[in-house]
Amino acid sequence: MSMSFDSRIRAKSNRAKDEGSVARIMKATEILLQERGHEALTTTAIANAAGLNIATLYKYFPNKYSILVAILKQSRDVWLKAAERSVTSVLAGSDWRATMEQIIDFAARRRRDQPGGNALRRAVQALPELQSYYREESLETAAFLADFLTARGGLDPTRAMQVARVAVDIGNSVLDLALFNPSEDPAVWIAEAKAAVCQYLTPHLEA
Amino acid sequence: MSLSFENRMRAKPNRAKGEETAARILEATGMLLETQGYDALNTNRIAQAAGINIATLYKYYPNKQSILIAMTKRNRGDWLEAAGQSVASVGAGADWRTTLEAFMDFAAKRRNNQPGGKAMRLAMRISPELQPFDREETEVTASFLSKLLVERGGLERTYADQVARVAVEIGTSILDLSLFDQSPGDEVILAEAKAAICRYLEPHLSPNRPPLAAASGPPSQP
Repeated sequence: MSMSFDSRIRAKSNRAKDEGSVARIMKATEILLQERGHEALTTTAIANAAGLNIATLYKYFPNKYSILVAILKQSRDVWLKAAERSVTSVLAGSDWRATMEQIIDFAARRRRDQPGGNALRRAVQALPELQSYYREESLETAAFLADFLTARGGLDPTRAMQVARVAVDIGNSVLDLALFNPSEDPAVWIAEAKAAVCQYLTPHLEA
Repeated sequence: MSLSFENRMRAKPNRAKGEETAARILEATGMLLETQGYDALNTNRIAQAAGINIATLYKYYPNKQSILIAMTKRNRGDWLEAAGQSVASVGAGADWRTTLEAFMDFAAKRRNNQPGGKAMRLAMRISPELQPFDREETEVTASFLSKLLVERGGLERTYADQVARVAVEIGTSILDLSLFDQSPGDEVILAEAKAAICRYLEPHLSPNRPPLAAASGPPSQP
């Protein structure tokens, strides 16, 4: 409000510059991750690849984990919106099984297309700092499914959350099998994740 | 062979002593895991708790990971024996569902009733050095189930291997929910792990049992 025209201009261009640096850091991290894996990932390597000074990198991110979490968060909003849409569409009358299968396809595509791809997923598996972020996201996903189990299956909220967490865990862990069995067709794990999740949920939804 | 009587005498008590020290190290590690968790674990604390010199500890184990691996391997024998027995008893006519549930009880006990069992499991899950051992165990366990799926369910070998890996992964991963914050509680988790695995395997092992059998089948029939 009290800023002069001049300083507003400066503030704006600084923000634009900040965004540009953050985007460059994240892009460089994604590329390094894909090319060399998370084991070789260091802030120095990232700063080099982004063409930035290491001190500049630390202005935005305290360590490599915070960069990886920022990358994971990029696709989180889209994912949670998709989860919410699925719930809405089933409540509006769509077949729950078909909708569940769609959301599992969506989850599989998200892993495949995510910047850093499987390398990022592997980093999540291997780094405790990312595991806790990922568990948080799983809980958020489960909350949508729990609402649905309450609305459609008549489960009480506590029970609905238990079942939802187990279902989300089944989906995630079966899709992760693609990481450990790179020689096999990933479609196998997607199909089995659908079967396992739907069969687990059936008694609650088709009583 | 070429040892004199005297040497053999000395070698024997030393070996016994060595085994005892190694066992004490593992026991102390279990106790520390139970009371302080994986994060607080280090070789100094282990040596102290075992009442031995740190140099003695390093004679047996180069680092804490190798101690954890030794602990895993120690009870792997019992584990694989239980898996083998389960498959054999279903082969001999026992109900697959009851047998599988008993095996899951065994899996839960291994984590919950053993000193440091949960912390150990957490370490296997989050430590990159230990993950390969965890994978290996998962795969061996799956190979038992795969055998059952071929013999009893008539599945083709490749698909049986895949289904078995999925089932073991589901069981392990659901039981692991109890390691983290906001856990629904061990009993709920065990019951859900059993339900999830049995429902997943049902179309393969009891294909004629309606109505749950009416679920999506394998991705592509070979």
